[in-house]
Amino acid sequence: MAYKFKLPELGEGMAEGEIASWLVKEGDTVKEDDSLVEIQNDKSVEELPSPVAGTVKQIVAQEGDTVEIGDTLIVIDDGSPDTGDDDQPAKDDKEAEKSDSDKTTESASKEEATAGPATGSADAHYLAMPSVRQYARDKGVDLAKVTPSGKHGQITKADVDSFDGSAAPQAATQSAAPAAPASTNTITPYKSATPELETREKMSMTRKAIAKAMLNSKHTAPHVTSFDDVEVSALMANRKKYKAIAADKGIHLTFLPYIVKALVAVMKEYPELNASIDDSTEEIVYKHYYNVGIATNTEHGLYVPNVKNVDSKGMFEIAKEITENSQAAYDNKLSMDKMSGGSITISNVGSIGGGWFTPVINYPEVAILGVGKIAKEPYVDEDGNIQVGNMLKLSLSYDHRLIDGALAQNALNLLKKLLHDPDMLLMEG
Amino acid sequence: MAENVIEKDTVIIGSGPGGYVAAIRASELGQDVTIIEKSDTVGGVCLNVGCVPSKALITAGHRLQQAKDSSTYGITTSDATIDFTKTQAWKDEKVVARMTGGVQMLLKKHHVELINGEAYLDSDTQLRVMPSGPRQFMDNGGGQTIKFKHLILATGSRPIEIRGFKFDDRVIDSTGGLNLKEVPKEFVIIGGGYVGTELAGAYADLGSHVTILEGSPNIIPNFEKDMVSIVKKNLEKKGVTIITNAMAKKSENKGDSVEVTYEVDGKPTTISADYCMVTVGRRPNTDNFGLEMTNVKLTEKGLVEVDEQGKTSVDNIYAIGDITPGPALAHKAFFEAKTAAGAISGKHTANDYIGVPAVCFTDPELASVGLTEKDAKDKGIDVKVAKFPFAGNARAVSLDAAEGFVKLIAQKDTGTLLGGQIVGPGASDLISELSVAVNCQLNAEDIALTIHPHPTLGEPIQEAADILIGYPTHI
Repeated sequence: MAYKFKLPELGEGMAEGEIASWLVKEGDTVKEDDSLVEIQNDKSVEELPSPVAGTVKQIVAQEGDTVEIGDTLIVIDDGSPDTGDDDQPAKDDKEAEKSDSDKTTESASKEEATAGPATGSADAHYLAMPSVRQYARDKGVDLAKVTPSGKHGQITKADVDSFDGSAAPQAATQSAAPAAPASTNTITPYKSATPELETREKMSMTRKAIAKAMLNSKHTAPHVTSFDDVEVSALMANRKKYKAIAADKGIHLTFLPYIVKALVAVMKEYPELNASIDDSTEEIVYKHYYNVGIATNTEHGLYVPNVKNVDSKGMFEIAKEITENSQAAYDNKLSMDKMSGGSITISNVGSIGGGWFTPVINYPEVAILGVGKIAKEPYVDEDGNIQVGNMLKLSLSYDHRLIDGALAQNALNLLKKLLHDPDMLLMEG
Repeated sequence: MAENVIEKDTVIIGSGPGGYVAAIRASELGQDVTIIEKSDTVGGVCLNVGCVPSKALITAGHRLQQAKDSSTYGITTSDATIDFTKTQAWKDEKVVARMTGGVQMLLKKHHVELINGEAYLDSDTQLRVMPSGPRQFMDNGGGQTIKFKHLILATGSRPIEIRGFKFDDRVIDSTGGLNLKEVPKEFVIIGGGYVGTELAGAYADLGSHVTILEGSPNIIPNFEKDMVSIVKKNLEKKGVTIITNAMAKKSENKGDSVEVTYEVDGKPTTISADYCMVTVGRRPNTDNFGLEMTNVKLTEKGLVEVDEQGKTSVDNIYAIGDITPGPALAHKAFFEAKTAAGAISGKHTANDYIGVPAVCFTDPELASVGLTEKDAKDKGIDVKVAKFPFAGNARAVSLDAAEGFVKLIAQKDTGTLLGGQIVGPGASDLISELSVAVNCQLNAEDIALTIHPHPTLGEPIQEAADILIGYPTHI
């Protein structure tokens, strides 16, 4: 009678999401595959289609709720016959689950208490002198977990000491874990002398995802950034020439498609730039596809949708897709698929006046190209004459585990060559 | 009543072994301590009307017996006599007063404030102190209100009165039994537990004909039969009549005597005595001081429920001694007092002692700590047991006191000492070694490998350990 629609797996190991908005309300009639709800997970918003047709009986999870895979989101009366399990109203079910898990927590903590440091219970004595038992209590060491070294299995003071110094194998880590998280995970609270002059707000899921991704990238990949610039008067002329044609096709032609195309040529020459490191197997994974990501800033966060298989697409097509992707990002409608499987990323701050900077690699990619503004600057041409050049600022960050400085510079040189002389793109791109 | 409220840091109700030790320890740990004691002297039952004065009477009895009969050693005296008034004066002035005075001095030295009066709890954080003594009525405005941060309940226990035996000048409790003005000719003691039996021995030594009426099949039922049988034989040698399975029915005060009726197998018997002492047990003092006004929870048996630190169901209220589960013994209260005082002061203390020693000052003395053979069997623990008799000990023989034995109980596979019992000369002192051994979970081998001085009463402990490790020496 009632179909309970539960949050399905959204891919990429996403365990939870936030209800962004409901597209139906209670009492609505829905057809199979009608969109029911928008779920925001770390970086994308997914519309979930209804697997059944029927009437919306109850919306269980409210907008803004964080839901986990398997949580009931909505109950749809699909007219199917009762099955014992489904008979329960969804809310009750959820509460039952909750109280169940509460019970589990409770019993777990009870067990913990029993297994805890030696207490008054006469049967809970471990083989240790009273002074050692007191010493263990003082140090918060659970004698149950200490490996005795004394004769007849007596736990000595030294045993308690070495346990506390986490020298005791395995057992030590086990006990230390719940008490204090491993030191690398220790979270230092932000303290302020003037909290009244500050406000606090919760980090959004997207912000948290960005923070985690940046931390992971910087933590994992040793970054080096090479700065360079290139004279792009010819590129500007080319773009000017085709901009109108593109506009006729409804396409907004920026410099980005040129750079995307140039990067394909660079990646083909230097496949290390289109690779990832698999730390678990200590292998370099070379990618035989060319998906170039464009970092897209929106009011609800930073997204990196990538244009797939740019090697087989024309400039206009690439331009069109870049525009579509960024629109989807603005509209919060990017799917997970659009943001995974990238080769390399372009981060463009030139459009808002930026110059050189040190972009952070979109891990597990191994390189990111920072694109700055095109500035009029003095420039010495091939003939040795000083001219007013249109100088494009480039910043290439790369993972030094895989890419050494010379390779990066050679790659940059090729990129410069292609951007300086866009005709070359016809040859190489 | 708001205008009459004093605020206190740590308040302790009762100055018995639990209360005064808690006060001293709490003070040592930096607490500001106040003790409320309803009686005129500090020290509680133990010092005033319990353990200590009874030991004095037992000593007097022994001295009289030795004076009367040392012919075995070639010593003859003209008939020894006793001036019991003098005995009592010695007990009261030289023993009890000295000990309670000592406690009072210790409290003073530790800057413990002593308030004489009866405490009545109003809530989890407040009590009133009323002047001691009988009252016609109580009203809420009466007494001094004290607001406390921490409270330690150390109110102890009192003798149980049984039906048909209302306490008067002839029917007395243990306090009365200790303070008799004369040595009774006929003395009936109802209850053959450790208090009754100790005093039975003392008064028998002092010249009474004592009759013990015990409801169960054995006297001193909390000690093992093989130990008690030695004591029983000795009591009978002193002329004590022991009637077991006896149900005390009623008493009748005849002015200068008392008639006591009891039944064995439904058959009533009436005997006449100068005094009838009822020592059938003690009940915790958890009533009549407003405990019900707090959130302190009691167990089914009416004892205060406490955690391993002595903390009650109320975070700032602790309970120690006789009102908590476990044997009602002063030394248990001592230990719990230190634990509770430490806990209040933020120390990681715990009542994680193993085995509370129990001692009975009979002839010979009985002592036990940790598990008995039967306890181990009941718990399903595989043990090995070794017994060494004092008959094989030079010192015991030279004391002409070669009765009894030392028994050690050790875990069968590991040899860890789980308990020990001693019946014999000096058992009350010797048990301390076994208390250390059991609480430290020593191995029989540890004892066997420790030199015990010769010739002393302690040697049988080492001998018993030798038996446990398979190499007996003097047996």
